Amino acid sequence: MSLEYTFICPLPNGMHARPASLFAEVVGGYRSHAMLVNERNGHDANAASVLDLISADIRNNDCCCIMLSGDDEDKAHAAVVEFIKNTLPGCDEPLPETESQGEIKIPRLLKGLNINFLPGNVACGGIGIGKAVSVKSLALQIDYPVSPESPDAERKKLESAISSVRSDIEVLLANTQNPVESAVLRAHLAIANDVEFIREMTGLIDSGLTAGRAVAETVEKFAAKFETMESEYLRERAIDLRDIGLQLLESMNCALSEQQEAVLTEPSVLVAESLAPRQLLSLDRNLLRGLILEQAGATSHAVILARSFGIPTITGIPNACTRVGDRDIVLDADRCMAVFPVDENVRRFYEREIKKQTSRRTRIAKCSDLPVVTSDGARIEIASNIATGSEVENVLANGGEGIGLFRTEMLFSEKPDPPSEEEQFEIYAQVARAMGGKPVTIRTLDAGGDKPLPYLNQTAEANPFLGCRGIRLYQDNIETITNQIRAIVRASAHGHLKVMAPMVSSVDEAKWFAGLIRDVQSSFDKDGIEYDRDMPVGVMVEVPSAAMMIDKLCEVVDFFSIGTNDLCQYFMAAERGNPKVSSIYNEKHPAFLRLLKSVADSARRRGKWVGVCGEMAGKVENMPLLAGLGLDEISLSAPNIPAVREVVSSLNTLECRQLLESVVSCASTSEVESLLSKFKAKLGDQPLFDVNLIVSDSDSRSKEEAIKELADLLYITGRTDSCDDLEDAVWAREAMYSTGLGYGFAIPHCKTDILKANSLAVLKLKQPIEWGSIDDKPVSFVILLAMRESDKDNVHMRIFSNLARKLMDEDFRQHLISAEDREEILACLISELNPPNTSI
Amino acid sequence: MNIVAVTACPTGIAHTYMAAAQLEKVGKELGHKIKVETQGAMGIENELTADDIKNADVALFAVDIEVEERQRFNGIKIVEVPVQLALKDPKSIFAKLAE
Repeated sequence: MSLEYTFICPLPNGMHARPASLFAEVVGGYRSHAMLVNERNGHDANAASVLDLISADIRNNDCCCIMLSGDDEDKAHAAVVEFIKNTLPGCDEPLPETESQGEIKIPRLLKGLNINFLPGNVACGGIGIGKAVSVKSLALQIDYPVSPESPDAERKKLESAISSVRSDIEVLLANTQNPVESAVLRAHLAIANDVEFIREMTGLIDSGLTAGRAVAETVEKFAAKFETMESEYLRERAIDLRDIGLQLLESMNCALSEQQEAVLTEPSVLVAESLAPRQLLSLDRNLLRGLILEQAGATSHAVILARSFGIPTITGIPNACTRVGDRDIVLDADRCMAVFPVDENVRRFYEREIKKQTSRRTRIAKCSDLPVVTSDGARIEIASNIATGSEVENVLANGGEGIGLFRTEMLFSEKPDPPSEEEQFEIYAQVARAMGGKPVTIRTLDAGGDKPLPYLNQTAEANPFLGCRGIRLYQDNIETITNQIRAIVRASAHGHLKVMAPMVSSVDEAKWFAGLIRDVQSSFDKDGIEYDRDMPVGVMVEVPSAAMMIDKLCEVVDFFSIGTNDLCQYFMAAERGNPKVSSIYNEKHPAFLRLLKSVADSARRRGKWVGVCGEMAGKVENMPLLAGLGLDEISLSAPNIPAVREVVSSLNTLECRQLLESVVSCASTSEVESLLSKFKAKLGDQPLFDVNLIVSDSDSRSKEEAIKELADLLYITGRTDSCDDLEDAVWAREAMYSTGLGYGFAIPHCKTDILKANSLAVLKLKQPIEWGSIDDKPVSFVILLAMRESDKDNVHMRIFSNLARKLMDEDFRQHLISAEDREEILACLISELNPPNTSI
Repeated sequence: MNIVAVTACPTGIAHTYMAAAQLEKVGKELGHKIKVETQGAMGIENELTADDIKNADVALFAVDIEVEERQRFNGIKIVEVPVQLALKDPKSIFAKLAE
């Protein structure tokens, strides 16, 4: 008797070493023999062997059948099925591609110098400076002139080599906290323990080979199989196999003692054609500043490991080893290039770049670790809207506390057919896991309106926005929606998921949607599929009728997410994109604010959770209104999170509630805006004056360096995300004529929306520098006036114009020059420029 | 002399106002009566009235861009200089006005 189970390979990268090692481990726990057949190519494999499993060339979506036979086949079958259903899908995730940047942008300060810039693809960003150290690729060359001893003796050698390699890997495993490193090491351990691998080697020894030759031939036999595979991912595994083979040879003292392992003695950038995991893991990572790989793709274990350690890495520079040699180089992975030779200019430039990146990271880390609370202690979650799983990394990097809206339309519009339950499950589960327990709200398919899909049962409509969109399409496309809900409910076992329906306009619709989810859950109970029983079910509030029925909806659902874009359009009867009515569409219309207030109040009275995820949530200026509503979550696009976090933390909810009370009794949008701007003037978003934007002992040596230092200050303090573009904007103004105004002062300035906040930055220079001033004298005091182009707030502009006028006054200039530190400079600016009765 | 002046620079953030301050200061030192309208990022400020212009001997434009509502100055002598000159050598401007 034997038991069978057929399944579809759920792994995006196919059956590679890490999932195969787990598979083999499960099978290895039973006495039954397990044979796996890949029905696509007819390959069969001993499922207890990692190498055999990999050799079967199992790709994503291949249909496979596993057959178990033996005295414990029942138990083995149950365990294997459980593993395939619940664990295997989570063993792998799609890898980020390496990105090539197209044309590389050479920093202004390095232009015109005699420097080489080698472009590549970035695998892990960052900057490293160090000595280039070349490493040869692994090759299994045997230094073994002697003839074999008895097969018994050779077998013993092999056995002791295997056990020594195993214990070496186990030591590394015990010492790592890095999940990626331990997954790679476990896969290596599984190869070293592999039954087919050992059987093959022992067979060769019995036929008269030395242990060393047996290892080399076995490794090459399997490696050759891997290298013919179509999947790049599986081809790359040949390196892992050679890595283990070489460790075995070394342990038997019969590896050709050619230098294959680099020893770092100073800060270094490693340059290699390709790199085996052990070659990377054996390096002193305190000295490893970067990695340049000529060939490796995104799937090489070296690249995966480098990324997990945050080592700046670029790939795809042909002949890098010979071109770079052993000189000092800079690896600028942020700009996708290697830079050499490193002269004084290059070193100084990049040391300042590294310092800048560190300061910015420290600043973001300082505020992004802690949950956002207002100044009076009210908790407001700042989450992000996403449309694809790949955005999660960016959300977390920006300090996002959850996903407030996962739009799933993108998954449905990529292909002519709807995505399978399996594909969707993969993505939802991956996002849930990547968010590590932070909440993820998935919105079920919102098609129709401006988002038609070819495979849905939809008919043409005269007015699609008032037609069959969102939940209204579900009854006619029940299979598509049920698949999506099954995928979401399954994925709920992998993190903190919430689910909500779009375009709900009645209590009956909400009831029906909640019922649909309950049905899926009870079918899972029957099939023994795991899911999170407490997954909250909610609705989007984007149709006015739903907004007016919150009390009744509270009896049916757990939470609400206000989609301000559609709610405002439907409520004001004005389309966002239509310029003729765009002045009517305004989220700050008092009627709309009354509606929002009634939604929030009604839900809160009944203890229900309310978030907001429309465009209104992305604007810093609206935060006092949203905080006044008493929302639980504000969800916006990732790049704006740091600014919103900062503003929300500075708000007082009591004051915001008072503000809201007064705006809802306004008669017009303009009255609301004027109250809001008064309130804002009192608070300021990011203040114009900030001591962190003043440097009283700048060592910039040229106009180029000084402008870069000013732009960098704005980058470090989160006032712009793109210091290169800001620099360009300042230079564009400088190109008209120099901003050196004489008397040793310069006031470079720019008007650009690259800025998130109007800013005033100051450098007092240690050494005067040339600026092309009108009096031909060098400059020792530089003031950057940076203004947002779209900002209509004249308070800051007034301060800038006052400053410009005052600079014509000698007493004021003397006052500034005599200020000794940055606090004094700031105090001088504030006391002289702050117009009376205005807070800044 | 009774002078009406307009200052305007490309971004309207700094030079418009520096030039205005400089012209007011130096003009007074030289014993002229001068009123300076700024056309900067905050729009037109200290606006010259029809009377101001009617009573003036000369209009001075220290500008790098087009003067707004230029037709107000029809029928009056206009001297136009780059903004920078108002910072670099304001006295030479007043000498030019007297020519």
